[in-house]
Amino acid sequence: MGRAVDPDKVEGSLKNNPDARFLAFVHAETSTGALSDVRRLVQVAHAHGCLAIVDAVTSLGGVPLDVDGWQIDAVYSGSQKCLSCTPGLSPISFNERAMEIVRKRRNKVRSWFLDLNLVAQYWGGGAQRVYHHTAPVNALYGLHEALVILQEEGLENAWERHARNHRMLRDGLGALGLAFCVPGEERIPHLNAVAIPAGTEDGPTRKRMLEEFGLEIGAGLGTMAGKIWRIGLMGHSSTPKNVTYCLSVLKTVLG
Amino acid sequence: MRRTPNTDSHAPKVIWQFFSGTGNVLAHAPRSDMIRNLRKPEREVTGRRMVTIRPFIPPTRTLMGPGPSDVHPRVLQAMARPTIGHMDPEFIGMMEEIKILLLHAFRTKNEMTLVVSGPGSAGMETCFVNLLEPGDKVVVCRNGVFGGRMKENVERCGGIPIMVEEEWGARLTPTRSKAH
Repeated sequence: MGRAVDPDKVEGSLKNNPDARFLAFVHAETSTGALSDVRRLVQVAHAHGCLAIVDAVTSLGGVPLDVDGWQIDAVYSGSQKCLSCTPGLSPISFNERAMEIVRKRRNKVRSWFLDLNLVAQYWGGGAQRVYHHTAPVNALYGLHEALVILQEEGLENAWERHARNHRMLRDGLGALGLAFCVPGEERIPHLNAVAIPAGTEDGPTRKRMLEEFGLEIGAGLGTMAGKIWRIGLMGHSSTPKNVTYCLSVLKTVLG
Repeated sequence: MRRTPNTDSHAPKVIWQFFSGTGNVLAHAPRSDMIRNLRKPEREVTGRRMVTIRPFIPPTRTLMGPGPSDVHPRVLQAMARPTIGHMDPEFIGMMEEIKILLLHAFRTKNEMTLVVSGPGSAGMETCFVNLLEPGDKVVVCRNGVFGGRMKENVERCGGIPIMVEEEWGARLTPTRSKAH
């Protein structure tokens, strides 16, 4: 099972800890398939004088995310989910409020490699660029292309495509008798966590899907290993063709 | 993999033999069952046997898990273009374009918008190491695996995590041990 973060619980915790400086949470929890209400959680954080740190690894490009509109202070994402680039790159964004904290630190950032004061000079404007590390050149070609593709499609259109294909998959999974682990209004549309039906073995079934049909779906993590499957419809994988294919393969292997 | 008992600290030793020519591997390339067989001897490497490692040709998959997702062919083509210097003005121009495209994707005007050279976990760590100082309290929401990773980051930065927990995962009974 999986649930979204409860803003009321967060509010309670912030009330009990008036000296807290940050609130950190995950927008789309890939391990459970639960989507949290970022706008509301950031509001709660700000109402208690905290900055909000948001994990948008799985959400960027798949569901609405509005960094300025929702006043997120620091956010990070990944290249390998809804952007459909190769793994290994992490887009980030810090607002002025967060940067003020970074610039006024009492202690040096403990990681030289990740110190934004240094990394920013490397990514900074044209001629003033200062050598920091050697960027993964070809990987960045890939991310550039992935972002161009997203721009061509249009951000809202990409969100809508992910939602549409989710509905198609959801209906098909329902017809196969597979039950979702997350309540309807809290689901990540592009990461569908379902309970493995009783009597079906996890490992051998996924192995068969992979070897006979070349289809990879996700296993459960931690305590959910062997209990759930996680079916992704992210980025370039989110197509009606893939939905139909996956449902057909599931029907075959589940008998 | 069969291995002889590890009696010296350098075992197993693999002597690498590189291809000097081309063609003979690619001739076998397309079919996944052939490729699987091609790669088999590798798994049977024993300590001191000469072994030929061939190019890795991945099988065709449809990726419908939690990521990576299928990479768009245009992205793969872009990545196959010639490498240029990372301080080359043309490359710097491309980095500037990535920033512009990211502003659009994130829906932000934040000047500090860039790409960390590492996976999402490096992005997570970038946030925590830059923002936290020892003794800072952070309310961390844990409704799955990744909230737990945030807690780890807070602790390693010398911060104090205050956890807000949502029940998640399979319900554990006292008789069943926790899966890995």
